[in-house]
Amino acid sequence: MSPEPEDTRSERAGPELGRRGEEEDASTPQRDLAAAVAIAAFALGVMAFALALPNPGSLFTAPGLLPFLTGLTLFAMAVGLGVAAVRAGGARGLGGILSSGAPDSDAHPGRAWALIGLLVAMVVVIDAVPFEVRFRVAGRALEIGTFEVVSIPFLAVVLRLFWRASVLRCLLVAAVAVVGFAAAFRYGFNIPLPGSG
Amino acid sequence: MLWDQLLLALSPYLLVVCLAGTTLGILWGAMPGLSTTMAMALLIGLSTGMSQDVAIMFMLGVFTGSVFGGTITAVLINIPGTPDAVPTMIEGYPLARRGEGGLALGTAIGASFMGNWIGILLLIALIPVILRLALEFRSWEMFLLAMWGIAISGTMTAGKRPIKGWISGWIGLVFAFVGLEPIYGVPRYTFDVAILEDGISYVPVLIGLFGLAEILRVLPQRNPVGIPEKVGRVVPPISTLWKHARVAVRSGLIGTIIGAIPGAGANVASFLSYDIGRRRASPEERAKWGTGSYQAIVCSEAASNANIGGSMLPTLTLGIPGSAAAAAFLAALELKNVVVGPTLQIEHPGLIYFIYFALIIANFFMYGMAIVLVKPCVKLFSLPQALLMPLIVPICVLGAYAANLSYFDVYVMLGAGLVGYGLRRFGFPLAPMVLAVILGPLADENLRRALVVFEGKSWSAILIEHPIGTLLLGVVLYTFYDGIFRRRS
Repeated sequence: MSPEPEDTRSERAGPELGRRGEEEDASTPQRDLAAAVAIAAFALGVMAFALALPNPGSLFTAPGLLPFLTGLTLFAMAVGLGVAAVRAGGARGLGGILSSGAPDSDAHPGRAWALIGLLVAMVVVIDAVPFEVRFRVAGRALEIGTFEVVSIPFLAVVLRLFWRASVLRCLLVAAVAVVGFAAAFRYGFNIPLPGSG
Repeated sequence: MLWDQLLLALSPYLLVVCLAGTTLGILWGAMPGLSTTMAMALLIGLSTGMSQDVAIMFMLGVFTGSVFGGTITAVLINIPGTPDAVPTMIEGYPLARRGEGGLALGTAIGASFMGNWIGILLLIALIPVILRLALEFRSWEMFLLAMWGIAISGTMTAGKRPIKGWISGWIGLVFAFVGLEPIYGVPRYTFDVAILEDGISYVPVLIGLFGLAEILRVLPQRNPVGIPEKVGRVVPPISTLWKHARVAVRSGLIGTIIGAIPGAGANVASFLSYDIGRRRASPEERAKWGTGSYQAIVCSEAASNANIGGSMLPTLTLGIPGSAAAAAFLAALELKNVVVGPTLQIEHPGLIYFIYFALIIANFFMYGMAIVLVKPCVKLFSLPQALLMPLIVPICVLGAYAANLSYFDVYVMLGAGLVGYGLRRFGFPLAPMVLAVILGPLADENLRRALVVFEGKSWSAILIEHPIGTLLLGVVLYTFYDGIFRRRS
């Protein structure tokens, strides 16, 4: 590994460091413009629903008062963000919003979408599938519920996809982790798990 | 009462719990990608099964440990375990490459210990003052305080683009409005879905934003971790620390003040302290910055650790979290029916003392365990993120469910995670959103109450009759002015 050039180091330690935000690097004018449009639409929706709320008392106690003001100011901020983005050249190259220009561009969109799909499916299936088996081991009542039965295969698939170990290893790690967490919650802290009592 | 709380905190079981929490925190923080806030958010669910004292001891142990833990990877393999360790990484890694990694870590451990002490001492000194002041706060002041908290959080976490922080906060406010509103019971943004009438709990939001969103962001990336280098002897060097004691005190003060500002966490504190330290350093010392400066490490570490005590100040006295991690601590306390705020001393006598002792004990454990754990941590680095990150998914599900035993909260966690992932990809910070979800109901109810009280009064009368409110209004307006005009220039 070669030493870092002197000028890069001094830049990193420069005065701007104290003002860096946690997400600043992920921003591009194109992304800002797209976000501004979406947020402006969201803000208009917030205002419309706030205006439609019934008002049993005076204007000052109206349930939609702060939601409306929030929507209005959010809309103004979205316009501000959009204008700044256009001035910075955000209207050019809008097509590449999701694919480049940010430090997380080494994230593969396909892998990210696969992960999102798996996580959504896991949460939905835990809710949809009722399962509970009770048994006794050494005089102690134990149980296996929906959470374990669904989480283990889903977690194994996620591990296989990203960790890339053998199927058996992924299944083993997933089983040990899920059963361990479930046991800590159910028996260690007496907290019921989703999908079972 | 003080003596009783000390004896309680020193009971063997609680000491073991605190030691376990601190150890877990250091190991957690040392693993790249696993942040303090994520640890705290995931622990909320687990804390429901603990007694109040155990939950406090454990969570404060994890808080203290994980803030330091990020330093180990930052110094040894040039990857900050937590965001606040970035300045330490800039200085520590060049030292490690010169074979001074152990000395750099020792300096960081000593500075962290000192920083924690400064944060705790200022917390103890200032809590009575803030509590007395907080009792003067009425609806108008509470509304303004809540709005300032959201605004300043946006300013502090979004760097040169405060508008993005404010937008994040304002979206959080909208989420906070979902449910039956508190004065008339009118359903807002429920779309005739009965379960939405209870509103959105901020516990699953917190877990989604700082747990799931982080997994979604980090896991698909391909960033192999380098092979750890030899550490050397890790002993906090007294002479180096003594040489930089004045810098440590200044950095500790900065860290505590930043911690007391709602939403501004340890990362803001360490960056700001590092920046101020560089400007104030002597020319010879300044020449070392960026290439391995022990003074810079002291600046960063003392500030990020003092931030813990500072963040407890608004959390305990006003119910306004000083950082996202403190918001998780607040959530855990609420699940134990502990309502923090101006009446904390009256409703829960002795609790504040217990928290002081828990922080002090956790600090001692952090100091000891940090020295012991550096070498085992090096082995942990070899575990790939692709193995560690997926294992957090079941904890997210369990944590979100356990808080209210409601599966709807798991869906909220999932939704918050997806929204958080989307916002991060577009460069929006997440801390203001969490703060807004917590403070939204407080702001809404207090604004409307204040407006009813003010009905028929002129603005000038309101401004004169409510000096604290007028001051806060000025602070809120200045925060926006500063964000819009000064930072832009």
